[in-house]
Amino acid sequence: MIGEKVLDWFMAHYKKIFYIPFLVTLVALFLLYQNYTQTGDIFTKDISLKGGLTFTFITDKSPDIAALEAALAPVLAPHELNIRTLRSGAGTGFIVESDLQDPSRETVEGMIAAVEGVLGEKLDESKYSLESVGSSLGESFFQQTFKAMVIAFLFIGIVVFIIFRSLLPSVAVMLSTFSNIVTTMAVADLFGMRIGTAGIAAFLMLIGYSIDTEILLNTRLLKRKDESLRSAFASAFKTGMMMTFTTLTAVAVSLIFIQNEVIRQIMLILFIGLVADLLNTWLQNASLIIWHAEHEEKKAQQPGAAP
Amino acid sequence: MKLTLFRRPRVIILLIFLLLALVAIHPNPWNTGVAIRAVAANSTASLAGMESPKPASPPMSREVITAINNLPIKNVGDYHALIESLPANTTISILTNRQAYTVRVQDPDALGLTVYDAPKTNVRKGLDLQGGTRVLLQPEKPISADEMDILIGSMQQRLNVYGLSDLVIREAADLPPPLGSGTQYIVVEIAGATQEEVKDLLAQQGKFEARINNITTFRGGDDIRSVCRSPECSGLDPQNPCVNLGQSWACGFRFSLTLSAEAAKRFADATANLASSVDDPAFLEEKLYLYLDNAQVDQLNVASDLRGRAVTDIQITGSGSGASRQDAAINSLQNMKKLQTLLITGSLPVQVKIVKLDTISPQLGEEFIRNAFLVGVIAALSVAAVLYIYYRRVGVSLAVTFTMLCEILMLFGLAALIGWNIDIAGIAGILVTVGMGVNDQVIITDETLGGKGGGPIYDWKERFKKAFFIIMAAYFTGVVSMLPLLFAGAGLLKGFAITSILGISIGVFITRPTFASVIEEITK
Repeated sequence: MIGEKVLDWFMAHYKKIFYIPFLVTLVALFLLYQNYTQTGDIFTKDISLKGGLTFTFITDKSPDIAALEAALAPVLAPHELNIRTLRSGAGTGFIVESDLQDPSRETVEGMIAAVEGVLGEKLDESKYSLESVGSSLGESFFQQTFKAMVIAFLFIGIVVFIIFRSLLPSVAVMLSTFSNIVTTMAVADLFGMRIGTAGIAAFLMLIGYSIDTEILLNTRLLKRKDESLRSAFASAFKTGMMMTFTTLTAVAVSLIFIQNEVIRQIMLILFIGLVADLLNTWLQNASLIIWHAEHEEKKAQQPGAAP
Repeated sequence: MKLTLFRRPRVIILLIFLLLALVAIHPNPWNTGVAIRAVAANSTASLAGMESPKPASPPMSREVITAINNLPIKNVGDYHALIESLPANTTISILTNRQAYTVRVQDPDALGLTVYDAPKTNVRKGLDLQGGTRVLLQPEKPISADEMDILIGSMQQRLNVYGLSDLVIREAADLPPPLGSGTQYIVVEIAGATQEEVKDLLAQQGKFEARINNITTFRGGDDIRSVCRSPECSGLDPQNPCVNLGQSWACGFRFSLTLSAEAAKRFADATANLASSVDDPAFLEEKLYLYLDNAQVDQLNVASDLRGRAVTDIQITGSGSGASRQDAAINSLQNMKKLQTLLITGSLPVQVKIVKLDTISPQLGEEFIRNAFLVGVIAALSVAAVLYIYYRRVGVSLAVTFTMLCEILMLFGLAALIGWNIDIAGIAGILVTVGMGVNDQVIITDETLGGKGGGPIYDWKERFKKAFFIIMAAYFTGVVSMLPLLFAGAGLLKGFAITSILGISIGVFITRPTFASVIEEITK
């Protein structure tokens, strides 16, 4: 799976190769910082995280939701919209949600006209209302998430330290997982993705997916018996690539067949994250661990070293 | 593969768990009709004998309306179309999966039934997949941004303490002038709650006060150190059993609570100089009056020997009523739960009123679920194909796919059993479970099928030991990384963490060992 020459080259130059993913992470951090200073957020939030405008109307007609969407989309563009139905004693209502924040009079009139066009009737003032809504998760959610993530990283570090009884592997795993999330967020920013609650869930999923390959690599390299570092790395790479490749296949296939925007967002974030994971596991984490293992071996071989 | 596989304890354990999962999920893809979510108290439907489902009853046990006036009802659309077409002052027959009801309807809008499409499994869907109740609330006076934050926080806590966690609370406002009036609102969306519960929990300010001799001794919130909610010290009151009042029934409830030291001292001061009652010297002359939002809800006799003592443990009583004994008991327990909630969380900073109360469709509806299901199948098949191309063994490929299915099934079974809602965060958790599961199976397969350097090792135990070291290490790292999310509070993180932790635990302790046995059988 991995050519002998490539392997030789990697084993000879891993110290320099380490800088490639490390630089990518630094660039990603810089992009996120830039986004933060410009917009006040590290990524672009969608209506569920940022809030926006809701337009509610009640009607006796039963209009097609797709037709409503098609009529309203050009009025609200470039903002996204989402239509849900309401049911109460007074009949059926529709609620149009959009991430538009400060609507102009033209937009409001345009929305009413678009809905009237689809319904084929006038909407009188008692039948509709427009409200601006706030975020569904609130500021405290992001503070809580941030704190939880910091603690999660510390926990990961502690458990990895207990398993391998050494500081460097635990730093390497924490760094790789952190780099995965940061890089994926930056790439999502570059694509102009609006992140919603589903997107946040997808970022959390990356933690689980990155841990698997990191632990595999660290175990094969550090717990090996009578095996050279080179061949242990080659075997770990083979298994690890297979692991990431199966997941990437599932994600890629989903991206092709999915029609739902929410799942597409989750899959796109996973796809970017898995590619970032390849980079961070096999170039960054691997370089650190090989360096660490060689260092330990040299120490052990030195005369006078502890038996 | 040989039949000996099915004699292995691991395989038998897996099969038992799969069977239990199926029983818990109770699937019936052909279930049609509309399930009853709630019957409003004293409504036409309730008078005809229709009952609200018991709280926390499994979805598949709900009463399902299958026909009205002999016309079949397949879904919510059919139901509403039929109800809206009814004339006023008519008698209708409602056929459910349990019995037939004859209902005299004066105003079809006031029938009092809240329904939803009959569930096809016992798995509860979350707000974003199933929809729920949407409430538009208005504070009685304009409030500042800080007060709004406190109000939303208190509402969130109140609903959570009551047991409703799948919800979204947002601040809203009319557009600023000249486009609108700028009125402040709060929008609450909740899954799985009845409209009456929502009304009582949100539209009540919940100012609870206990007064004796016109002195307030304690209020809800800060003065209460703890409220007992376990069966030993809360529930239907054995001293005040259910009684038949002719047309209706009434049942009493009781629960104990612990006051803070300051509140207990206020009680001591207030009772220090009270005389014993002339009628019954065992009690004090003054009673302890309980007020909720300035209306008296109950009065309690205070034993004479408590005079001037800093009492911290108090028993609160109350009652509920209903058309039948069972209804009255349910109503009484619901009243108890509401009162307990208000006592624990204290009052809202301002009074709010309900402007609108609707049933709302989900953000991601049926089409989303169908699409997700289809993509899941295609993704599983493509993973199976990749595995076959790599390992050239149909058995490995089939075993991995089968294991994925087992994990998803058991996860859904567990969700149905403990009654937690599957929402978008839960789906993300399931994807993590499946992804990490396939990863682990690749590790097991690679370790056992060899292909690694070094001499041939034929010791299965040695091989599995190596594979399971990696799997367990990854498992513990994964679980500890999810733990902080579990306690982070917000529903999104918690749902994700619970599903992921349970999912990967099922994988590591049930399916992974079985998979290893299967691989051993295949490659022997």
